[in-house]
Amino acid sequence: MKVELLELEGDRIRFLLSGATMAFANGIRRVCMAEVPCLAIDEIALYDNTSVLFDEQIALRIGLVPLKAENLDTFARPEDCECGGQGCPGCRVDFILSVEGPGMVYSRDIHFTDPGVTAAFDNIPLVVLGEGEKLVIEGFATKRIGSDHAKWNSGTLCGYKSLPSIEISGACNGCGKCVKECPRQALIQDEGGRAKATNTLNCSLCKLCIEVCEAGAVKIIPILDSFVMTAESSGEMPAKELVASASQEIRKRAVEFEAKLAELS
Amino acid sequence: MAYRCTRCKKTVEVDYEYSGIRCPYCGHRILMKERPTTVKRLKAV
Amino acid sequence: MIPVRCFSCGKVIANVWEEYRERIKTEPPGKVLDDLGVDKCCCRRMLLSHVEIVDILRRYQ
Repeated sequence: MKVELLELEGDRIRFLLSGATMAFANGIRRVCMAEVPCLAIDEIALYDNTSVLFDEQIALRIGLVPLKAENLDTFARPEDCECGGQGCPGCRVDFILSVEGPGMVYSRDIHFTDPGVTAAFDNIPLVVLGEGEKLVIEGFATKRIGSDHAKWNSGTLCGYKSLPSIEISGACNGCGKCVKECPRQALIQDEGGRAKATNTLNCSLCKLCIEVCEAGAVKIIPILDSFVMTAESSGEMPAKELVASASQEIRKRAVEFEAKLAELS
Repeated sequence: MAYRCTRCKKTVEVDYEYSGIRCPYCGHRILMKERPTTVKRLKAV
Repeated sequence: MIPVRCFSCGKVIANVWEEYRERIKTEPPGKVLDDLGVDKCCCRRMLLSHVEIVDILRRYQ
């Protein structure tokens, strides 16, 4: 198996995975989307809310704020924690949000007791407060995975496609129709006027070039063991870390599965 | 349960025995329920 | 209030809302969205189609 980095830009990554099965690529995609653990606010206690928004609305909005943690590995998931899900500093981060109007309450106003934990974006508008209105909330964040609730989704856009191979046979008459038709500019005309594949990575396998080619010279074959994978994180962690922890998660599960199988035999 | 009269802004105890809702101070018929002082616990979902 | 995340994909979009709201007064919205890095159609519709009514309604609290 080979991994080649194509693009890395903060919370977005694109890489070429070759020598793997489609099932494996899909596994990485699924884990990136819903199985990478991260922090999110789980439960709140409202002491005062005189704002225009309902308590439940505020609870939802606060829950959806992505949280960055420098020391994410030190937290345990509540069900795996030593406290047995009761709640302890090992699986919880407490926060307090206390604002008096007028003005907008932003995600940066959430103060955590752990200095390593902060909101990933500091300018998410949460509630608007009028003159004399008050909001006092206390609560805690826990570490869980996206399949528990969408607010723990670490990856937003994760997908893959087979790497295409574009072949132009000798029948090409140099009409240039396929070059014009391609929406992703994956084909150009060479000096002789014949079509030539340039950036095959961009090809979306739409096969418009095959349809438009009267000579039937274009052939697109997906390379079945190579995948162009894209992953975008929702802000809790850089995309690089997202894919890394996704593969760790797969490994962890494989080890667990192996142990279970050994128990059976 | 505490209510608040919308006209005279006084806190009013409603007598459930008496048929009909009415502010004992000013006779206004519109009362608002106050937010309970207890802490409200919610799941952030 | 602007939703915190995109309904479809879950990307956080509320963090660009205030800048977006200021900039569309002078610039075309499509360009602003490209500039802010909101490039998926699901996230774009969240900002494009949002009508902020909280400022109007809170007067009647």
